Amino acid sequence: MTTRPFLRRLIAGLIAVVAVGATAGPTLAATPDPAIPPAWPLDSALTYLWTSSAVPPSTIKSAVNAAAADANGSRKSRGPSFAYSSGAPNGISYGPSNPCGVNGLACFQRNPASRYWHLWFRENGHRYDWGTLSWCEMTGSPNGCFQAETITLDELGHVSGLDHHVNLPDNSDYGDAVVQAYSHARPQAGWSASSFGRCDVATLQQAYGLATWSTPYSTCLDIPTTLLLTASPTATSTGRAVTFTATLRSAGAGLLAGNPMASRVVVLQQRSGSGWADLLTMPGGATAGSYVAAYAPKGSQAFRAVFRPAAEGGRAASSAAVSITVTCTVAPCPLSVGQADQ
Amino acid sequence: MVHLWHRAARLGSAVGLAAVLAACGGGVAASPAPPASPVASGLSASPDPLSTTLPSATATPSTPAPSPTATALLPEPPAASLAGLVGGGTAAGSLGSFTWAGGGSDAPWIVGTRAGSVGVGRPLRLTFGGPVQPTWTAAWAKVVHGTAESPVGGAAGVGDGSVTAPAAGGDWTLGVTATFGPGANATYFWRLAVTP
Repeated sequence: MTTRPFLRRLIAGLIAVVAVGATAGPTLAATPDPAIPPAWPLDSALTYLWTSSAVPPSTIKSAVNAAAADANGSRKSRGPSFAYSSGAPNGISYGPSNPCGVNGLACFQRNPASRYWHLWFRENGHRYDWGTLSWCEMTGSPNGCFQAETITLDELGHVSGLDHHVNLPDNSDYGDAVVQAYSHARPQAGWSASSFGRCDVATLQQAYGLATWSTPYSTCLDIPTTLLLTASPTATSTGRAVTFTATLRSAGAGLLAGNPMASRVVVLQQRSGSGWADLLTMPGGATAGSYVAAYAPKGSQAFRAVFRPAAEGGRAASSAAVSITVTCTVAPCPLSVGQADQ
Repeated sequence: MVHLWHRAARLGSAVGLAAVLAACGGGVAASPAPPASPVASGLSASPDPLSTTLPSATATPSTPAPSPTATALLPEPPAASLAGLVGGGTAAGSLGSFTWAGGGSDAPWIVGTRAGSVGVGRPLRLTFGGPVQPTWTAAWAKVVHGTAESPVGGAAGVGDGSVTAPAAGGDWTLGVTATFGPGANATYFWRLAVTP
């Protein structure tokens, strides 16, 4: 799971290297973060408390709580939610006693099988070989400081199962993910992110499915969709309404397969010459992913539904055509079927 | 000193690799314990991580933490080294961000102490420890006033390979991101003087 996108990126990168100097290189697209298996159960509520022997200062506590809210508000999936609880089984530690390694700002451990996770944060002022750690929240945000809220969000992403995003060779997609291999300090791009990036969300959606059927698919994904149109009746008489029902579903893999897609823009079209013309936007029906509209055709005609994605990673789709036969019972009748509604 | 640090890293790597391989074969074993780590694997006698007061981790790569401090660190990925420096030296990479064996650490692009020098455009040999040969990408970032500028892509490969020093002289850092498998990656850094 991790290696496939990486290899894809690697190959793309190699192609890009070869293409340097050519008139036009390939356009690379951002990909979802790799995943750290295994995932948590869907909708896991993960709670934390401050480790008694390593309690963070109040500013870091606030940053952690803010990051928990950021994660909860931007996961757009059924991935874990985070909240402080005085009775929590898992902890958050701050200070010099940590297992983060020589250069770590913060670190994590996770084991969904035992519902275990833990975060550690280095203390403000810690001296590394490469500099002194400054948490922005504690130092008035000078250049070079790290935003504890953003770093916490990165760690919560890891706990949720996100691995480091694989950036494009020019790092132009750094803003697509908070879970990064290189943490940025102020004022570098993304230093103060307060929500998961679209490629973080993409992996959360792959691992946990969507939060609701109305939740848009991350634009870091490219999910095929299917659109089915039915009509009742398919044979009618002039002036009688036909009920059109469109059903929109995802056709991705795993938890992104066969999901109803609600609150989308689905348009009913009718045949117009050799093409199609918009007739009306179909309102959502009683069932998630269904769109229903009544319309009285003036003559026999073919209809179809089209899905027009708006800022999401679900692909546009159109249904097969449905033919409606209209029997003229009231004069004057249309001279030619197909021209009546144009 | 660096060797001690690497020995600790390799010890953790062996544990970590086992967990990674287990994960590849169907997920982490259903265990009530925290993820594979020295704590969980019995390499140290530490109690539950929540109640563990971990020894202080030292700050510089040049002063690695000896055991037992090292065993309290998260399991770390294998070391990476760079050969082909002026004088024939080999330099170990400074470990930055990583994920490994159910844990991980986050760090910035590291501009540490200089590991050596290399001539402009000269090849450098990159080698990884451990049995798993990773896929990797490398990028160079020029160091200006002690800060790394935006990295630029340099090379990519699978397993041990080579990278080419920048065509312009100066103070540079090489960053390598290696992926060993699901939930197992690492970044390594070398600060090098690139000489005309």
